[in-house]
Amino acid sequence: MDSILKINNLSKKYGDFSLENISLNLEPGYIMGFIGPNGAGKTTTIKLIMNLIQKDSGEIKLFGENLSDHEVKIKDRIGFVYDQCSYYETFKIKDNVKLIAPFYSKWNWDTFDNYLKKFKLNPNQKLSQLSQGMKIKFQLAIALSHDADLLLMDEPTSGLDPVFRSEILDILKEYIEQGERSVLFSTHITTDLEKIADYVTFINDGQMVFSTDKDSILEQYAIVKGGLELLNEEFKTNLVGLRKNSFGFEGLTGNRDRMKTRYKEGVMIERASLEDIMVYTVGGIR
Amino acid sequence: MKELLQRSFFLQKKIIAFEIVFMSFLMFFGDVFLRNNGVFLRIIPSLVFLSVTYVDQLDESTNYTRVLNSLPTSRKNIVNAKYFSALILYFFNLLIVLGFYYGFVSIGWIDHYVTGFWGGVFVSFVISGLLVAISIPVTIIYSYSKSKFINMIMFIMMFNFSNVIITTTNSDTLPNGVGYVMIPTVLIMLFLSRVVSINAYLRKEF
Repeated sequence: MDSILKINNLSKKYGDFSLENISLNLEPGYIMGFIGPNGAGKTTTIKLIMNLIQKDSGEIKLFGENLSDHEVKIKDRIGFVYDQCSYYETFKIKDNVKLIAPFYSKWNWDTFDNYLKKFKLNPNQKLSQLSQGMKIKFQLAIALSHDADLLLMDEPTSGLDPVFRSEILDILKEYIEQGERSVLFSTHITTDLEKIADYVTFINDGQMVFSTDKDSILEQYAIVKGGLELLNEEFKTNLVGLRKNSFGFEGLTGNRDRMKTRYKEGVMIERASLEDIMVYTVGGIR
Repeated sequence: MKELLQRSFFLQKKIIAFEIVFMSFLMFFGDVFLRNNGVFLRIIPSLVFLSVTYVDQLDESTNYTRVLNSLPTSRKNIVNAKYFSALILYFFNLLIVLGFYYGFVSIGWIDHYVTGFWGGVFVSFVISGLLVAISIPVTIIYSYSKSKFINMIMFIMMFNFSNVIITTTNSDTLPNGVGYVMIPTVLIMLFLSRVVSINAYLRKEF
C-alpha cells in the first residue's frame, strides 16, 4: 500500500526563514506528531503539503501521487484543521458549512450533524460567538465529515484546556482505528503526542532533527545527570543539550546505550520525555 | 466551478438584494419622475464592481483564501469563477433593469420608451467589462487592501469614460461603428485579464 504522505528533501526559502531538506514518511493507520518550537517551520511545511505556498525543491507525494498533478483528487481526501479558524466569523455554522460541503465528493451531512451534537455545537451560532476550543471543534467536524484519508492538523490543541485536548485525542484514535487513515498533527504540546503518536518528526529552525517512531526516540534519548567534574570535552560530545548549575549538570544524550556502557558510574540516566528532547535540542549546550 | 459560483452568490446575496431595491428606486425616480433617460443603466457597472470586490474584501479580511485553496478545487477554477460570477452578475442586473423597465412601461408609469436604452445597455457592458478586466488581476496581484486605491481611481475614470462612449456612439439606437469595435476590444481585454489573473494566482502564496 502507498504511503499516505511522503516528503523528500523539501526546501523552501520563505522571507528570512528557510526550511531545508525535510523528509518524512507517514504510512496508513498511524498518527505522526510534528514537533518543534514556534517558528521552527511546522506551519510552513503544512502549507507546502497543502500547496498554499510553492516549494523551492524536493518532493511531496500524497497517496502515492504528486500533489501538483492531481490536486483536486488529493485534496478531496484531506481533512484540515488550522491553528486559526479562517472561516467567515460573521456567518452561522450552518452557512459556513453550506459553502464548504459542495466541494467534497464524499461529504456526509449525517456525519457532520453527529459531530455537531457530539461537540455540542449549535448550527445557528455565528462563528464569532464561539470560543477558540469550539472553533477547533467546528473545523474538526468539517474535516471528519467527508471521509478523508489524511487529517492534517496545525497546532489544533494549543490554547485548549486539558479536557478538550483529551477529547480531541480520543477522536483521533478512533479516526485511525481501521488502519487506512492517518493523521499529521503539528504541536508544541508534546504531552499530547506521548499519548497518541506512533511517529514523531522534529524540526528546529527549519532543519530536520529526526523523523522516526516514538518508541525508538524514547529509547535512544535520555536525560543524564551528574557532577560538574565529569564535564570534559569528550563527555560533552555525547550530549545534545546541557544545563549547568552549582550542584552539577543535567543534559540530554542522543545515545543512551553508549552513555550507559561508557559512564557506568558517576552519572544518573533517566527517561527523557519528548518535551525534554525538544527543550534540550533547541537550547543546545550552554 | 458550480460550487465556487454558488459560494460567490451566497456571499453576495445581501448585495444582490440591495441591488434590486436600488435599481427599482433609481428607475422610479430617474425615469418615472425625473425623466432622466436610462440613468440606471450606467449604475450596473458600479453594482457589478461592488459585488466582485465585496467577495475579495470578505475573503481577505477573514483569511478565507487559505480555506478556499485547501479545498478540492484548482486555482485556475477559483480565478475562472471570479470572471464567470461577474458576467452572471452583469446579466442578472440587466435582467432586473429590463424587468422593471418593461414593468413600468406596461403599467403606464413610463409612457415612452426610454431613448438610448440599448445604447445604455451597450455602455454598461463595456464599462462593466473594463472594470472587471482591470480590477480582478490588480486585486490578485496586490491583494484587496493594497489595490483599493487603484480600484477606486479606476472606477471614477471608468464612470467618466462612460460619458465619452455615450457621445461617440449613437445613444438613441444600438451603437454605431465605434460601438461594434468596443465590444470585441472588451472581450479581448477580458480574455487577456483572465490569463494574467490565472498566472498571478498560480504563483500566489497563502
